[in-house]
Amino acid sequence: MSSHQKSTSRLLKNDIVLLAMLVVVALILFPIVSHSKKPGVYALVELDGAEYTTLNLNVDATLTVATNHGTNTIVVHDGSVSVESADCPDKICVNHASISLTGETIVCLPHKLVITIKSDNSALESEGSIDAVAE
Amino acid sequence: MIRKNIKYYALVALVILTVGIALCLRFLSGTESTYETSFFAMDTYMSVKGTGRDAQGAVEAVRDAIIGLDGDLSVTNPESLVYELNAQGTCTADSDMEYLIEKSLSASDLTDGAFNICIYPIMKEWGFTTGEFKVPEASALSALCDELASSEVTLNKQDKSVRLSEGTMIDFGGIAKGYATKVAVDIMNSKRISSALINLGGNVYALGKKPDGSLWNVAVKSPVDSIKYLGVLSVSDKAVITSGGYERYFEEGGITYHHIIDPSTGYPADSGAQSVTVVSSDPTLADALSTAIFVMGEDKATALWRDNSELFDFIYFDASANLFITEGIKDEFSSEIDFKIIEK
Repeated sequence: MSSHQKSTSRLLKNDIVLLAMLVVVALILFPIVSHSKKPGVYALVELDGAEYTTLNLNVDATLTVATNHGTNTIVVHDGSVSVESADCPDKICVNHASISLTGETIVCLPHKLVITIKSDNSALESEGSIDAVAE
Repeated sequence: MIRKNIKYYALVALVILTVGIALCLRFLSGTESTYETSFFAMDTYMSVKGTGRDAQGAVEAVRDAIIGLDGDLSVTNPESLVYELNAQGTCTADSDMEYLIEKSLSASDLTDGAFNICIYPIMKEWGFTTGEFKVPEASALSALCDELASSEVTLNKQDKSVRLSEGTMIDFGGIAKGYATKVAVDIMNSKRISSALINLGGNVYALGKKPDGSLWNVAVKSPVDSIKYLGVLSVSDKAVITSGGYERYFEEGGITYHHIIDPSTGYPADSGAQSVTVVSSDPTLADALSTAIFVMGEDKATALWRDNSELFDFIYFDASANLFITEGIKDEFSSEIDFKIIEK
């Protein structure tokens, strides 16, 4: 009878040790697990390699980018982005199909303007999405 | 009692192990970072991304090297070695030029002249080098083609001297981005970057795997509006380089003239290709072959591949919207449209 009591108290002590350790593990793991950000997809607009602005794909919008290189009008509609008009000589940006998937880009070379679809969630970005387009 | 202790110690060991792994993961993610930069060089938009301990240092070294190469390989830069060679018919090659000339000559041999760096005078005649496009006189083109047929570039391996035959001018434009990719990969490797994506204006090289351990997904642009992509390649340590008439062209009198000139006719290649993608671990070769296969057409390209299937694979989209891929990439390629596999 006394040996049974002893083993119960030992078990209790072990349980407390285990519980304490789990708490320690949880505390250490928390910053790693909680690192992932909320999903949210947007278009990054860059001029001459520097960030100019970002556009939320969930909000329909028109953005006119005027620089000394020239002017481009960017449109967000139904989650995809296109260049509606531009005064560049080749009009490659205007003729480009609208983009909506992470990693897709529209480039206006003469105006050094680049629009890239981005996703905040890096896990989402790497999961089966397209990393680059050979063209 | 002893048995209980063993259980207890095992439990403690397990917990310590878990904590240890967690700490290791944290340590690794703390020192390995991803860095990406974008810039304009070689008349195109480039982006380079790498993951490693000194990702920023490696990526910036790549950017600086490519911007340097842009000046060194430019035919219009009076300071460049290529300019000197074209002006004087001779020069002493540096290591870049030596590699490029050797690669160019072997690519010419391999493709029976479909790739030719001596096509520069014809490209100039069409205005593809300056953007002042015009359709040349047929007589002017046939004279230039005759000259091209007898053009010769010789490299003396001993003293590194390069000689051009009379009237010959060269341009590394058809191979420069591929070579810049090779230089980028070499820098990444020397800086111990194990994961990188190098995208030089649609010439893509996937180095290693993504930081999460999966393969890089490289889509192939479709030349027609009705399809988004010709397909997606899931690759590692491969260059994916596409040539299409849609890249650079102009219209005159209702006819579209694209920039991939057939060296045997002097006119835009008319072999039935709409888009050609070459997949190879050698980016310089891939760049030369994507242009050459566009010129050669499917039959000749298939014969070339059967003899050299260890060097490259290709994806071919013809004018009737048929899609072909070679056997070597059948496991890496997926597409929403039907395609045929070219077997050995």
